[in-house]
Amino acid sequence: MQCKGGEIVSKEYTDEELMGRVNDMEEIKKVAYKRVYYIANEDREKELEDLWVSDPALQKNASYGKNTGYYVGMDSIRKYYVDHHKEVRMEDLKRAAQADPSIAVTEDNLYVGTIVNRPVSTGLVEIAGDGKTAKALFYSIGQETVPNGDGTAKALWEPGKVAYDFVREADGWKIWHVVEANDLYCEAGTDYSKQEVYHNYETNPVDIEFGEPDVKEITHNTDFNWWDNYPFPPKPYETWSDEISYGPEGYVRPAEYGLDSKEGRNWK
Amino acid sequence: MAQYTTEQLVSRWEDQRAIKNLMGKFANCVILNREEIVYDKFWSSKDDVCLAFNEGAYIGPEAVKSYYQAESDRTRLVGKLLQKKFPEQLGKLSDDELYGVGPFKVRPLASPVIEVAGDEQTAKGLWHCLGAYNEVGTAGPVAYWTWGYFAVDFVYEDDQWKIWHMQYVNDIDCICGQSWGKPQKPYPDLPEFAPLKDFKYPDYTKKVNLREYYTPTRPLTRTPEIPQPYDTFADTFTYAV
Amino acid sequence: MKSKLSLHDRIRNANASQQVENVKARHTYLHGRADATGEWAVIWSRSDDCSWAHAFGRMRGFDQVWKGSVGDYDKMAMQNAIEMQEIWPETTGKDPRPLMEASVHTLLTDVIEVAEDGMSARGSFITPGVIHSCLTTDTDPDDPTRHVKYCNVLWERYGSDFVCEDGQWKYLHEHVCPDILTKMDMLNWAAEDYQRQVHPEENPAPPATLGAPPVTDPGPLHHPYTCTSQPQNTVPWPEPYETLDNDNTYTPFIGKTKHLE
Repeated sequence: MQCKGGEIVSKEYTDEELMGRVNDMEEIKKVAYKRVYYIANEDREKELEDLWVSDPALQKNASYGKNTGYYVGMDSIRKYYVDHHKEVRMEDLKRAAQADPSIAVTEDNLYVGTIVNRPVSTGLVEIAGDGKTAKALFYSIGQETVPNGDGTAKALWEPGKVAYDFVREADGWKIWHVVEANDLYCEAGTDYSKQEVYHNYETNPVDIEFGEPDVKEITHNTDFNWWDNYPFPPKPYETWSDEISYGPEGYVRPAEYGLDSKEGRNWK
Repeated sequence: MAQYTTEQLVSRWEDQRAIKNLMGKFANCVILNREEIVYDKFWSSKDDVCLAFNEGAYIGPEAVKSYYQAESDRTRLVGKLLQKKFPEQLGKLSDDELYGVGPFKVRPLASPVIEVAGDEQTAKGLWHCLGAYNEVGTAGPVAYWTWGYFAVDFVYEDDQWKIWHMQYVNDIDCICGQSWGKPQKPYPDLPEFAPLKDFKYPDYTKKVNLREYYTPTRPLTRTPEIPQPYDTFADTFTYAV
Repeated sequence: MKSKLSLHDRIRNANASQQVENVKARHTYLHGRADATGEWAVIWSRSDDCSWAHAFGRMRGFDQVWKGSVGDYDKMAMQNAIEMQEIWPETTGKDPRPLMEASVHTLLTDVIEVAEDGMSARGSFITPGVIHSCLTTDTDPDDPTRHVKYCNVLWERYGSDFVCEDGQWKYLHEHVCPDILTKMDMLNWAAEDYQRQVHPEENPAPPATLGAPPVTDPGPLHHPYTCTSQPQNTVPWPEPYETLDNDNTYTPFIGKTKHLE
């Protein structure tokens, strides 16, 4: 029996197998860490090529989720994560140019005045007993800053969980599913407690940026803190099944959800 | 991808763990204001050591040591000024007891990408650092948020991993409670901290605009280069300036 | 320094190092849901030697830790839930614990050492954190009729000892050292502290952390940042070591010494 954190795992590994898994654990974390720098460098297209699954069968149900749903399939992910993002950044650039006409509205200037940091830490990684897949959960105290159009910028703290499913491909571990579950946003230099209490899906900047995902589902309702436990921490597992996926096939609304936000007011 | 034997994998795993431990100890020394021990404890004895910040670099052992000495001198000065301000709490403290009072600098290191050379003689690491610090300035204690990177070359020397070249560069250095997207409103200077105005760090060996701080008109500024697998240091890039 | 252990033992210890990282991270995600039972029932040693320490002092022995960290913590959650139901009916019937708050302590800058005997591991961490809650019983000081959400920023350091028991890695000792506590994001923790020192009567204390349970070793064992003291080295980084003992621990053993036998 190995000494495993959390739950008893009776599987025995040879020294060679165990060291292979130790090495896998570091490689898996490294993929998530590299993505931090790809994001900061706005290398999104390259990220999809370098870090995500390349097997067409896996690409078909690769997914990218946030609080309000999932984009599914690499084509759809690319449309949102690369193409739509560039369109949004072009609007940001136009705003920056309004304030400073010396900034030309060109592709070269696409990211003027923007900065995105999503550092991750607190990695909890479980590699399948069969060594073919892995699940990982991280936390990110991140920020995104975009030009306002008046010479200033809107700087938002955006902490939240980041969950990954990884698959082993011929050239290393690759991202298969991602969920970035934002916990809150707060403009730097403002009092968070002055915000409206309930999550407002119409005005929340993270939800607006996420647009219209293929699968619409409120997976993480921040009104109830971490009550919904999504994305859930990975547990030791032997082999892959869709039930444990961080893709939409693995999302289950809590069975006893009870009342949703703002309900239950009419008892008087 | 290079193929390694189990024994090599173990050794390489131990290397990267030792490097994380080294950087963790370094960060703890910064919290404790123990910069005076950082050079001897953690830096390589090589002649081409390099410590770089956004605007310049200290190159060579004497220059790097002089930076840490200045940091230590400044800490000592801050302690003295606070002792004068708070005679009731601090008046009876000896110099040793007073040393370190005032500044508090936290540099948490996240998202490490570490590559150990195939020959295990050098390594490279890149970390994101969301930091918080108060080094006590002419306005007294004021806290700042920082968002930036540590990019470090390491060398295996005397049976230990040591820092060879280090870049600590920030995008953001913003007064806590204010926005880095808007003009900052500095706290007013306080007369009791006026002597800090005259305090100067040693000149950089090399002034260089390594990284511009964020402004709402700054172009995309790439992170320090991400380490890639390599065999020997000659096959890769350097974080030296 | 290259290890002198056998290859087998080096692999065992490499795996151990990663497993305690996982135990530590699992703690973070359980604590974020205020799931104290999930933590102490599963990832903690039940030894008389276990301890949990904070600024307020140190609980020793599993029963005292369970009383303070599970019993009293759950009680706070339940008391909060009773009040919450009157204000926020949609919280009725939901697990009261995560509704209390999400207390998220991220794990960075880890220094981890596994004992040469492979039976224990030690780690120090810097933990930038956010503690937030949306539906609360708090009210706006400017408008007492308005309930408010909150997010506090809490940066701490951890010193943690782990032991291998019956094939599983478990927590044995935890020492939590709060350093920076402020509100998101309009305060300045250093300038505020200075004002408190200069004009204590005019400047309120920072927001308090939850609870102060019964302890064996009374505090204060650590104090948050203040401009009138040296930064404390309450949880020094672990050095390479052979076995968990009084020279290598975040809690000196004074009770039953199961792990010394």
